[in-house]
Amino acid sequence: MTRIFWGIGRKLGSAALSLAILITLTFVLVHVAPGSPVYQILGPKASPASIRELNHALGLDLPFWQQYFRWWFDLAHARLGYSYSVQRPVGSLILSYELNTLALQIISLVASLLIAFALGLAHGVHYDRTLGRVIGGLELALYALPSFFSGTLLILFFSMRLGWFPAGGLENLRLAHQTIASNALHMALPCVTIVLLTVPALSRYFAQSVHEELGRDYVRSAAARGASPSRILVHHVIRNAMRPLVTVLGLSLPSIFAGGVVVETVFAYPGLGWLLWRSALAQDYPVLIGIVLVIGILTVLGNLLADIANTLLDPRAAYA
Amino acid sequence: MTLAGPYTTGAVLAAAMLCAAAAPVQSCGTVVLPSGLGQADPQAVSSLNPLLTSLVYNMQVMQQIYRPLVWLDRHVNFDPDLSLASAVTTPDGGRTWHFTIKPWLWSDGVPVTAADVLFTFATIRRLGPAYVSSGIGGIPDFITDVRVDGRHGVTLTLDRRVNPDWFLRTSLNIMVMPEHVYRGLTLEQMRMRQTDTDLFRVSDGPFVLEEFAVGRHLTLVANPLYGGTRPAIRRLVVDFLQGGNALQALRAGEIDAADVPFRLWDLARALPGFVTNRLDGPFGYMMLYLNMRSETAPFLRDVRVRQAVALAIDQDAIVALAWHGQAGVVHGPVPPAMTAFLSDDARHGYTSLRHDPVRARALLDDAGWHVGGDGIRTRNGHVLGFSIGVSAGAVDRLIEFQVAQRDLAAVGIAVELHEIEFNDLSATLEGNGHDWEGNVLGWTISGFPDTGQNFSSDGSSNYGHYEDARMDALNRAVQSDPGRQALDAAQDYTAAQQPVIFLPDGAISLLARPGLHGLREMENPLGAWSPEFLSLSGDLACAPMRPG
Repeated sequence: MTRIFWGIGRKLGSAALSLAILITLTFVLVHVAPGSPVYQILGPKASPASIRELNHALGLDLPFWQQYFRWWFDLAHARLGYSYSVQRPVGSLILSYELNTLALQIISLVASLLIAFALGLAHGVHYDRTLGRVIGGLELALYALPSFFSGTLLILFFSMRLGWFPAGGLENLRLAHQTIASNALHMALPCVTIVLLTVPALSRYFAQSVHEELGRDYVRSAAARGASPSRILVHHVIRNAMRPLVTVLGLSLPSIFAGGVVVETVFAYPGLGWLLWRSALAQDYPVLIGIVLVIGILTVLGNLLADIANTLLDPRAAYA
Repeated sequence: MTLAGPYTTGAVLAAAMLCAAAAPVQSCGTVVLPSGLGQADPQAVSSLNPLLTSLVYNMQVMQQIYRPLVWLDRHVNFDPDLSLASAVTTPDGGRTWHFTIKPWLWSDGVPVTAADVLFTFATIRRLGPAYVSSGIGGIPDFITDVRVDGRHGVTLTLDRRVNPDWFLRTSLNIMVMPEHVYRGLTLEQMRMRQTDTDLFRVSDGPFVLEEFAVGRHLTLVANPLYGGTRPAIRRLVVDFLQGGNALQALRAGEIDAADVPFRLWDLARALPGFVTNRLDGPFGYMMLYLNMRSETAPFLRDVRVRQAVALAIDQDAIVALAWHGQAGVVHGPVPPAMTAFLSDDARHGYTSLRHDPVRARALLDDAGWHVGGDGIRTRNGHVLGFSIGVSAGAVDRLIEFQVAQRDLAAVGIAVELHEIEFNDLSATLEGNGHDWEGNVLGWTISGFPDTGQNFSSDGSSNYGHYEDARMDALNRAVQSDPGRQALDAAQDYTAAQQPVIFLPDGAISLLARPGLHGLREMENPLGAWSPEFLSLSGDLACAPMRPG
């Protein structure tokens, strides 16, 4: 057990260092990019005096290194800053968009897991047969489909042509009070896009794993002892084949929280990925760096959770 | 309960949800419009404080909450019906200004009084350079005194006599804020609370803010205490549609109107189930700013080169190719649509500046630029060429400048186009440490079409650093001399000098749902919205509606 904690501590240490480097790089990149957020705030007809004044008020006239250390100082005091473009505290802004992302990503992930499990199992069991090849081909075709393309196709067909689903957003703005049904309708197409993006990778991982497990000695031994194929599959193969899937899921934790920038942008879905993209365009440095920090922390956490889950599924992993 | 019970209940619930989702939406009296409609692509409303922002998206919403002292109609005249002031007079011809404030109520029942006007001017003074329009129209620099005359009278005294036509149309469209809400707020608090719904719930305009989903949309509802013409609609939702496509949203039934991209005009007109509305204007144009301080292109200071550039560009071709016929040729600082302000020469379209490549070549020859082997002119080993920055993603604008690039190459001027983001473009124009040669900015006139802000040596938007003593004198005369003569002289001189190259901008058309009426009346070519003129019929209305 001590060894496990030592391993976790070591991982956390290196992760903190990676995070600091990531933040520094982001800070440098957003500040060396040409332009300034004040023009987006004041508009093109603002007087030079008001531009200078706002630059001063936001601290943008300070030398780069002072802005950098001020950011760390604020972080140490649990302050993520104030959004330049929407005049709100970064923390509450990220949280409000995060909830939308969580809702979309969790529904999509559950749907993806169920479909990937069924598809991957069928593919793995029939790996070298016609059914397996057909499923494999389908997975490859979907895998090659970029989400901005599939998302746009879905909008064109289901929203523009058939009028079944809204083209974007999360709310029906005509309604004085939003309903779950209205939100669900808005989430349908982004959800399908994420599923189309996620299922091929997960199911191929799972199929490969199932196929490998089916070829192992313990499967032959179980069969020799008279266990039925379904019993072998359910009680032995699936459990072992799940391990790589858990690792992949752990690594996808940041995307669950950070959202898919592309998907959220295509559907103008007000999640964290969309906020990241808008903040980059508006040069809203505090929000941009705040989101990078959140994604960085979640990546570290995702890795850690995957390690712990793998350890629980197979204690030998703790000593690896 | 049998085993089938939960399944049955679940199935009924699921069916009910599906039916609820598929049922026609009951939204009687609600209009959903994208932000910036009629002016620009949708973007988020980022502030509701009229003293801290001049962004068109913010202005269009703020004007529904706070009535300006002076509202200008589509002919750029004082409109007493839509203004907070019922009368504006200047007994001494431009030095002292009397305003009579209407006896209206704020939406919380508190009377609107002269004290609110006084408070607004005091806040502008307190903000100093943080006031977004600091120095523009002489506010607050020209003001020496603001006094209250009774409950509804205000007298403004200036330190000089100004041209009343200019001052009325440039300086007085200030939105008056409720003193009882803002009293006691520090400037920092004001800056930090620009999207705080609680601060903007009190209105003397036709609408009251109901909800502000930051970055996404906001909802206004009709103000029952509004003293002017009450809106015929119940709710107005402004969808920021950031990153979304307005036409897609319109076709999917999420919004009720959208700007029509110029290249899709013919398709839009043929689209069944929608109507098109052509708006007045535009009261604007494209300006190709030329940097007079550029070290790499010093020839831009030579008026012959600038005139040659103007003559070489075939604006008729631009109108046809980039704007699909929905724009007019422009050569001077007063847009052709502002007919009441055009000089005689401007009204005739400045015939001396019409497309004439032969004259353009002669001017360049005269300036000592001679055609080289590759068709591009040189002088003393220097190539006659410069770069132009165009806003990224503005397809129509890019096409416009590709035509210009072709035309300029035909007379021996090499032009390189590059797309840059708006923030970068603005920072470059402000001279943020960059050297630059040419940059394009769309410009909309929001009041009196004077040229001081753009072309006076100390003009706040004189991004090209144009310096000309005669131009300065003419612009000063526009601000001080009553009558039209000064404006005519200034615009004709500006057209002759071409401190920037004036180029056409498209006249916006809207695509809307058939039940939505009054869009043209709502859209003021100066950039303001009057959604109280909107009315609904059919499904959108649900029931017969009447104003009031």
